[in-house]
Amino acid sequence: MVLVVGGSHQGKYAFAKTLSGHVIKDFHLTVKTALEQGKDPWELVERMKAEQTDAVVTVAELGCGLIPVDAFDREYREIVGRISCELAKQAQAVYRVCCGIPTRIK
Amino acid sequence: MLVFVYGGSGSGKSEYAENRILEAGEMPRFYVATMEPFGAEGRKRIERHRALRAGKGFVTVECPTHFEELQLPEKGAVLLEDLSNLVANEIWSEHGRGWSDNLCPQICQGIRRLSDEQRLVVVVGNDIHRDGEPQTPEMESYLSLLAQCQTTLASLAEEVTEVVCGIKIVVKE
Repeated sequence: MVLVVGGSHQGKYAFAKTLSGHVIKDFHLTVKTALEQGKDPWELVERMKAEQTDAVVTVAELGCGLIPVDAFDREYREIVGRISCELAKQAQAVYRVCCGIPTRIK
Repeated sequence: MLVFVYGGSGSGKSEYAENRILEAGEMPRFYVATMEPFGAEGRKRIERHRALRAGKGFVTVECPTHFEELQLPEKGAVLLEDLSNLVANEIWSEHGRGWSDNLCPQICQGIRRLSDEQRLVVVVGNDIHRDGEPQTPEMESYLSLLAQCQTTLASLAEEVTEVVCGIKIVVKE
């Protein structure tokens, strides 16, 4: 698995498409949907680790702003951060994209 | 030695900072806790941090406000976590001093003194300035004060590290 992280609208998806492997876009939104449906997003992570070893996964860095006022948003931001740490641990490469420029950080 | 570590929320910066202390070798280890247990969520966060530190030999010292008065009994390695709490507590908590132009100099001088006295001080900061315009002038002032503290500390520190998804990025060494 290759992980591509970065802020919103920074060119994560455009960069991910240039890598080999199919792209799983905006994984944070998949996590959000799971939370909204009362499901455990860590099950998605476990499934992805087992089944998507060739995937390129993009996920937004959500933790770089003020603490959200809304409790759900706080939980969502926290879980996306922890899940991103776990995906980064599993990934053979991690890129961070800022202003369209990818930097390989792992 | 002063080390400054920063990252966003949930970035793995705490775990990195703890390991930075452990790698420095055997010596007394102090964890300067700044968080005031505010509601169930706050208690949960504190519990999470405690579990993460368990078995790593840290003596916890509570210091939510008046950081510059902190005295530690021995020389060793100190983990101060984190600046966003320290600044927020001084401004808003009942024991804090409220808004003051001295806030940033006081905190930074306190950290500088501590790093002179101790063998290693690792300060955890917060990369929370990338979310566009704050909702209120009060939040804007808070972010500005926090950024002032962090800029000063990054310039004082011998080593500055950013943590992204648990990955170390060397900023200054």
